[in-house]
Amino acid sequence: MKTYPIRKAIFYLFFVLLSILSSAHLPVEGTKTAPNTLEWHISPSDPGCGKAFLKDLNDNPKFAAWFNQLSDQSARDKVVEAWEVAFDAPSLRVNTDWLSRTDNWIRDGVDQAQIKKLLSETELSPQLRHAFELDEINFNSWNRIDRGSPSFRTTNFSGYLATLKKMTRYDNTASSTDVVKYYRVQGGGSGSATSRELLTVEPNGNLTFNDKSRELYFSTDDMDHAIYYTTGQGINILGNTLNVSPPRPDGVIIEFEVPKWLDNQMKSEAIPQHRAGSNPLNNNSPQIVDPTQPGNPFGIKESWQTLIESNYIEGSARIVE
Amino acid sequence: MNEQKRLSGGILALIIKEGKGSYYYGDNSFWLLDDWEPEIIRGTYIHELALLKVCPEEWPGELLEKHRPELIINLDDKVLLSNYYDQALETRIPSDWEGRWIESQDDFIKHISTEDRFWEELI
Repeated sequence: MKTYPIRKAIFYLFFVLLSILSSAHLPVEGTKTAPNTLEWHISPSDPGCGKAFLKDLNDNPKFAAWFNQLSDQSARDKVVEAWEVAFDAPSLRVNTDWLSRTDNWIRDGVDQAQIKKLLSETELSPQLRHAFELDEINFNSWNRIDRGSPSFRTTNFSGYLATLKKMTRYDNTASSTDVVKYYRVQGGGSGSATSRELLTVEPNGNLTFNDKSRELYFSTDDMDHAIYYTTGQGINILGNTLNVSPPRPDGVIIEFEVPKWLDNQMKSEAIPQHRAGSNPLNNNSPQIVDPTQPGNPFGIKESWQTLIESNYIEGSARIVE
Repeated sequence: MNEQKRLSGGILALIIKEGKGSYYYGDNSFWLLDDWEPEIIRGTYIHELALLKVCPEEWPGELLEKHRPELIINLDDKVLLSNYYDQALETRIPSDWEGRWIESQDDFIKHISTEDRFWEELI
């Protein structure tokens, strides 16, 4: 769709509409100056677009009233632009909250093709729409998954939704101060289980990383995932209560602290584990794993283990009894 | 790619298809079978793993010493057996699969046919 001629056409239509609404006794301002002809100037490239805008205003009195009360041309210009971007999402393009949201993304310089893609997907997914409306999902998270793991949404929707919510939460809780507690469940068995103890808690509260060639899994912020791993119980980010056979009932829980800046960095660079091997954003990145399980579990490779090894709070490690 | 470097950050899996076992090495994202359910149903999952295939019988002694299979994926019988501690891969399976964690390495190895026990040639 060519934006400029369409916008011109739509504004012309707007004044035509004012005339129509005026004759229908709707409380529309400015009708005195509206043209009294119905000569529509519609872009040859998309003749249905202008008609659709007019129809949306006619069919949705709330949308029309909101549009009418906008005080200046600039505000109406933004609405029309947002409406155009949302064109393929018929219910969202007449929803004032979604038009405002779309306008904000446009003002933030977001790629309009990506906005259109998001709106089209959200139009068809009540769960996604609800999560956006509650601010549980932001554009950045959606965009990162769309660009890196587009198959996630169709292959494992609950995992996709949970990961979107987690990535958004990580965005929203980023700060530069304080420390964050990390937890790891390991060992607990006997014999060969010893080799799986990738971390050793030394008597002075320091950590020894025993084999960084192995992927290291841990969880952050709270013990929810560690408790789930040892008891099989917990509540996940989708609000589901889990009560399953404990995955590793004899596991030992290790706690240690990392600076918040490092936690921020890890979470901001994290990608979904879903098909991480083919994710173009994967740069030995931390992975958000098991998104539908309680808590915030991650997996990291050697380079990130080295970063944590160099920066965790020395003396903070302990075995949780 | 250097074989030593390639064998890092993942786990060794024995995949059984049409009665024949082959070894693959990759990170856990490849072993989350619920994420690969469409390919498993279509029968193309094994093709997705092609670049991960390894031949342990050709490895030098140090690699043979270090690596043991921690996962058995039987595509014929729809069974996943895991001896891998860190991520409960046995729970990440399609609904019509059976997943089981076997804590003891000795018990786990009993599920591998003698001909696929490449490390025993060292003994």
